[in-house]
Amino acid sequence: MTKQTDEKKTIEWAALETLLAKVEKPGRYIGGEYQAIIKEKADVRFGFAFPDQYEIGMSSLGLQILYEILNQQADIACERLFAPAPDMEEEMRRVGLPLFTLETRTKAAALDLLGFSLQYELSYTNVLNMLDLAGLPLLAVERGDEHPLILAGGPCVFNPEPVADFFDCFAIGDGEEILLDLIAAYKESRQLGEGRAELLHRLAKISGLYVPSLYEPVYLDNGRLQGHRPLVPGLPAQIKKRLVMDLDQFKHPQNPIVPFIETVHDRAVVELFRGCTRGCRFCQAGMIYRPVRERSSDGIFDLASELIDCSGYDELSLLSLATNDYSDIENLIDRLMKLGRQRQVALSLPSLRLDAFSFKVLDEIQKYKKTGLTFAPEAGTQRLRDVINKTITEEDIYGGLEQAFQLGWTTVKLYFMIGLPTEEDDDIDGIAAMAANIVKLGRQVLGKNFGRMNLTVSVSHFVPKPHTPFQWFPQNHRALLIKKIERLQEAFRTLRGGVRLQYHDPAQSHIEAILAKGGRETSAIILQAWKNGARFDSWREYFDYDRWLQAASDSGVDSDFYALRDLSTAEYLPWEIIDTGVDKEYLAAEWEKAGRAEWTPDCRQGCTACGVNRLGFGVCPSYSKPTTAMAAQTPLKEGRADV
Amino acid sequence: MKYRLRFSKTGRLRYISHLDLMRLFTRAFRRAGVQLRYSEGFNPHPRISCAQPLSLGAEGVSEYLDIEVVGVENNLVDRLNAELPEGLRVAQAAGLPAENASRAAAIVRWADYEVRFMRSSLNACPSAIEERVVREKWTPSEKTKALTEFLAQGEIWVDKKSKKRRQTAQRTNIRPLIDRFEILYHSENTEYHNEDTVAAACGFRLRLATGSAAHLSPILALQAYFKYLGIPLDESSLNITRLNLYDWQMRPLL
Repeated sequence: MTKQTDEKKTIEWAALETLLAKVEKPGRYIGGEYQAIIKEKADVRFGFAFPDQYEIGMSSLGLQILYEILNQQADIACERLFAPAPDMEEEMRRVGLPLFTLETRTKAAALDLLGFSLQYELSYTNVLNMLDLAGLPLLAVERGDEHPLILAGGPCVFNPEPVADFFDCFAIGDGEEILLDLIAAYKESRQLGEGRAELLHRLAKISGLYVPSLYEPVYLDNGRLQGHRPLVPGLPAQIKKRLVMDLDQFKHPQNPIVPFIETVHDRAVVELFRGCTRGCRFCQAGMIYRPVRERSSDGIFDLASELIDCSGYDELSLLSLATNDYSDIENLIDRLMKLGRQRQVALSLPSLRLDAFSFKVLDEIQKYKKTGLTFAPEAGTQRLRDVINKTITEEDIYGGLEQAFQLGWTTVKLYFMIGLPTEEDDDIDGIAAMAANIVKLGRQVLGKNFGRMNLTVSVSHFVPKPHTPFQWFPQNHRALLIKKIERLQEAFRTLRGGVRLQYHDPAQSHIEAILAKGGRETSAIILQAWKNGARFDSWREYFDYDRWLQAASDSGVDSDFYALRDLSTAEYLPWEIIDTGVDKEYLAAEWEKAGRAEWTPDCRQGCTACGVNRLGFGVCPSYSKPTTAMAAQTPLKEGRADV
Repeated sequence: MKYRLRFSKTGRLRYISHLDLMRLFTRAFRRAGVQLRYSEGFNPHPRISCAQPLSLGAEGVSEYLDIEVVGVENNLVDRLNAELPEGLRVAQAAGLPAENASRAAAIVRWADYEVRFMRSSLNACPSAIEERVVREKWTPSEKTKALTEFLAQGEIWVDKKSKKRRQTAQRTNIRPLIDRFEILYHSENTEYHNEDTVAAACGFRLRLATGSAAHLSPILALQAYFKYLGIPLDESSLNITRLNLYDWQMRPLL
């Protein structure tokens, strides 16, 4: 792959600078942050693209980890690209300034590889916009040897089909090792003077890499999928996700980039563990990141203290799907609190279950300034919580809140979903009933301070996700969701005393469902939506439902074929090309149990035989078929305090 | 112990805000192992303050930062510079003798600015404003005459927006807030000596009142002058450098 040498590969600072005076937050585009790595010379220049604005992208731990791993290689330069805000995009297009990296201001089109981190479906149009700003053809088939290889990774690529037309290759699963394998293959291919076709064949044989152009979807007469057919011999029928079993081997990030401007998560972050054992049936993260792999307690402590010293952050946060589930949590938090007192660093603990220990910790870290407490019951009745396998009970919440009120907390937020499988009016009413009970409890416990109580009930719309037990469930139509909201509003009208109901238009969730569960034909809708002007669809102020509906009708694709149809467990689904390690039979069995409102215990209490152990063993006890004795155990209590 | 630091904020760092800068300094002090003293109360924050915030997009070559640390610190300049990004450099640090020494923000009265028109290779044709400045008004004699007349006005009234009441503009006489207003005929700064920028690289040297008691921003001063000339001013084409800050006796703050 040779590149034209006469054409300049970078843009001048002066050219950028004339735009900076005209845009909001110019600090987003200047680069040169503390611990950013600038390599003038590199054998391979890899662009790490985050398809949203700087403040969001720079809050991604995945970006910091992979940036460090790639830049530790002497011959690789990893540089960052973000989606310019609309005002900057307008200026860039006006003067013809192409998308560039923050480190060396290399034009995106002059990179060797350009990898997008796909964290949420509503960022897809930003990918297209960034490719367009880079001056690159949007469709993989239109790109040639002179263009960078366009890649994607992140949770969304567990269903790569909706964006298959845009990418040359997907990296499925943990990125720590797979990216280096990919780049090694790229270098070898380039050394041998191979063209893009040969390179793609090479990549398709690497475990965890999916080259969509080498697989053809095969359809049945009724329009449903029959399967994916590899177009060349020797390719796997399914792409197994890559899995890093020993996270301690990857002590990252040790030297994270410290942004100049305030980001969404402006603090030092250490990952506790990957995966979750709780088995909530709606939760994609809980399925695709199995098995649970913990970092060692000492490893976390060392990494945290090094991070604080090298970054200068005054806040440290622990990252996982459920903080309290970490095996050594009490000891670790004790040590980290001591460290925090020594170095004047505040500890922030998201996803905390409200047990006695948590209250002790919370009371100390929020001695003077109590932020809000957050619970996620997700559903309004015990029956529906059993359906979704969310084991928090109302007693857990009321008990936790009683204690919280006594300790001086007054701000509480509850998260619910509507549009869940088997949902009835009773379940909707249950949400308002819980709010009413909390108001009553607040009045009793807070007494004359009751006026300070602030209860927010936030309701979102359930979006079924691939690789979950609820993947077969048709999303509620928008009209039905609106009716449910109206019912809720009515029920909340009678509540008094600082209660706020928060919800938004289900339109965004409808589009999210289409993008999450679609097949390869969905690419045409996304392309058309972008042409119609869609971008920053996860931002409520930029999202335009009509633009998407128009795109669906313009492209002639039945956008709701997967999103709103009652799918059969016998059917082959677009994302079955990806193997997460969790068996389809397990998901189907969970789906059935959900219908009977029957819960499945936490895997830490005993293996539930999801199948992931064929890829590697996590913290779940050794493999055995679940027994009735296990099913009789009580569920772990839970609840959340995001502080 | 209290210290006053003199530093420069140049290059790309002109594009980060005052709050960003304070956060950056706080982190740099932590990395350098300098323990800042924190305020008492429910929401403790480090005792660190600037003489006068620099507006987003402006450079400063002699800016001042006051800090209060636990104990006594040595070699602050080198230790801090090792932790600062390109574009931010500490030139001098001095302990403030008395514990009750006035903060820089309390004693600052005047600031010197150099303002130039920004041009770039990308923007090949000169903007309409610069065109008019260069071709119509800016023969040296006319320039001097116009400026002399502008400054000879006993009072120059402008609408000044106050930060607290964003909606209501206040009529203010800015003439007493201008101590010096000079035109720079050509660039002495090599940075602007590219062939296509030199023509328009004319600018101003200003000394304006600064601080909490009376304050005039260079943009507002130039707006008043351009309004007087009857020429529209594109603020985004201005390249502002604050040269130094002074107390009431016109002494630099350090």
